Amino acid sequence: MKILIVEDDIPIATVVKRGLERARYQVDLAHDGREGLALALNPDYSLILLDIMLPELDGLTVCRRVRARGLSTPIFMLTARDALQDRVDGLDIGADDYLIKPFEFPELLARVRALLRRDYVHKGAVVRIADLELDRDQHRVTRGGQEISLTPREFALLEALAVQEGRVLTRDYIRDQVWNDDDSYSNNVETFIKQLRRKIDSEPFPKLIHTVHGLGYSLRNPAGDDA
Amino acid sequence: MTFASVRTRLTLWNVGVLALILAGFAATLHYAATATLTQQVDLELEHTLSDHRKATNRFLIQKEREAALPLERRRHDGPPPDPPQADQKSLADGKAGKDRPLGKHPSGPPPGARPQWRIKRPATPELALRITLNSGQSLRDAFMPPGLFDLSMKPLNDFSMPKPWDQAAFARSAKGETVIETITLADTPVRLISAPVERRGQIAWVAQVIRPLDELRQLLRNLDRTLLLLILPSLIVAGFFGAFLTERSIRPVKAISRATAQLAARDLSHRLAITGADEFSELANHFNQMAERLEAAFRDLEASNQDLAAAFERQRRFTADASHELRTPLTTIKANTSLTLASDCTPEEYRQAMEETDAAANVMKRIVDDLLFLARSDTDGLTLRPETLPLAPLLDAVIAEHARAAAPPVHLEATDHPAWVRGDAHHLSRLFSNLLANAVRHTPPEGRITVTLEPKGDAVRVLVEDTGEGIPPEHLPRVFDRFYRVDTARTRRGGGAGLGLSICQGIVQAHDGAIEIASRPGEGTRVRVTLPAADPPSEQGENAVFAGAEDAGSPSQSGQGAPQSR
Repeated sequence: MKILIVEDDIPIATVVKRGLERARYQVDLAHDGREGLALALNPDYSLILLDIMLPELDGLTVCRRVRARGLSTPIFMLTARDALQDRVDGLDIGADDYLIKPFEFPELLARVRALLRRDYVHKGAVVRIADLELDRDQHRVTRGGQEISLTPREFALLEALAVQEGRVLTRDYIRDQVWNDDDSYSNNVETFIKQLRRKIDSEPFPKLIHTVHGLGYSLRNPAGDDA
Repeated sequence: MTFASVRTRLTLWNVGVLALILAGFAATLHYAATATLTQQVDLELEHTLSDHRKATNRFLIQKEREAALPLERRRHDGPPPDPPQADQKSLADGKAGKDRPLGKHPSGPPPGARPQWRIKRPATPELALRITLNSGQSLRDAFMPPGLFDLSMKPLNDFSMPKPWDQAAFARSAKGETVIETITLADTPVRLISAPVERRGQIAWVAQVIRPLDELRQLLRNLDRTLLLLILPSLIVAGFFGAFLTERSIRPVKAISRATAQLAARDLSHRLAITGADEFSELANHFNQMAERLEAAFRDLEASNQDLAAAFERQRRFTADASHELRTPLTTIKANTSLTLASDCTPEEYRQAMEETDAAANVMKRIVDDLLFLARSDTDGLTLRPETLPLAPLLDAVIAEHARAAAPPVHLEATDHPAWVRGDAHHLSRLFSNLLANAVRHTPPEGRITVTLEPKGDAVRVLVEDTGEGIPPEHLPRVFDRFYRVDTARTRRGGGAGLGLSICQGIVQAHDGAIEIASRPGEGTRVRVTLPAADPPSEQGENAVFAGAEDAGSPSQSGQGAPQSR
């Protein structure tokens, strides 16, 4: 998951970046509105953390322009201005959430998570599909009650497929958004799918991970399909 | 329409009062004329009565004498003379004489026409009057026969009326009363005089003379008509003229009223036109004075309102800015602490969090210190520890402090003059340090910064010039405002909270100096600080030790004035 931080105050940007990276997000930094807007127009970002008082272009303008381009990337406003009108303006212009400085970091992370899973099929911490159970907080996976150990990379892949159950994830998406890989060795995705299938999708369990030829992969509940 | 009503009211009052006066005047005239004319009639009546009385008395005496000597006289003289004839003649003569103002009475009986009279003489007074009236004659010209009666109401002679003109008056006069009154006979007002005539101390008979008053009444009616004819048009004329005058006098009031309305509705700068030198121009003048004062007061009020609003706005902005500037490092602190507390960290991560927190706390401390400094300079002024010191070494030290590898070179251009000033060394080095830091921050490494120190009359001038990016003209007036920053990109350039120049200004003002800033975008910025020059503490240098007693400040002290870092 890639997150863009647009913040002109370096100490704040530094600590927010560190905190988000520790929560396993990939983070880019922009220090003024112009640079921030240029980066925000890239659809790869899953979320934009945007300060309001910025040099060059203020955050409200950046937000407005991002939305004017038709981008629906969630925008999370961070600002020291706490006037009601500022909050209302920010949300009306197209921001998705709002946090006033100074803030508690756990709250920032929780709100980031909430924004990111907004269009997930499964929004809770524990995802259950057929007899597959995935605990996102504790990074535990069971199939038919049996615990399965996964590498972080495998877990991230399974999590992405599970929370977006039924959706097709392209190889590029998996590489860029799920693993935040910059180097392109896309064969790797197939390798990991194969490993994942071996670990969770082998007999006697019904097949959950499906290959959509020419597009990518998706995780589907066979019972749901039958029904 | 108040004006119309004022005009109407004034006019009505005017006409009303005039009508009252004229009515009073007319009434007085009427009664005076009546009194005068009646008095004259009465006088005439009295005269006539007196004539009749004398003639009748003579006639009666004659008769008595005749009665006393009847035979002898008849024998000697034949038939006696006709006394009434003589009497009548004399009476007629008298009347003609007395009555001249009343005119003649051509129908008056000729002296020897007694038989005619006897025949014509009517039986009652009413009849007598009616006959005269019916004859077409004016009553004035008609001869009214007198009534001469003895106490048994018998006419004394043929000449008299057969009956008294008025019985009541006769009765009163028979008792000795002289009556003058107006009675009505045959619907005609008549003035009557009725008087007793005494003989030998006793009332012997009564004489009554009348005079019809119709003519007098006619006269008075004419007078009344004339007065009425004069008064009515006068009132009408007075009414119109009054209305016209009121209208004219109200016209300036209307003009003033219109102008006032304009002044009230539109602008206070409106003034009334002043014409002439009457009460209205005085009023207009006073009004203008009032408007002037009102306008001035209004202007003052507006100005002070604007000042207040500006002060309020400054205060509001200051508070918002201060809050924002403090919130920013606080955010770093809070984010670091809460992040660290929420998860397990390696010692390295702890260390990093602590370092960032510490740096942010330092930023906050600096802002708080600066704010405190400014608050002090606002309230009781800075507590200076003034000493007489030379600026040149102080500037040297400050420049040395700012000399860094990546920074543009700083040159000091100074004459040999040490430029003595009186001031607080700590504050002054802070002042120049701030200015230099600004210059360094906004000048690229290949640029150039020049500090010029020059004595200028009884002042010392320090110029800090750079070849940096300059300040856009729209920002120049506000660069001394607290938290005002030309470049809002604060951290990347390592800028402060925007209090530096405010602090510089505070320090310069505390030293009775002046600070000005001039800039051209793209070319550079020049800050000029002017401080009052001070006399050197004594002769100079080494002599000072010996001359130290003369001066308060000693050279060794001023030597120490060269600043350390702030």
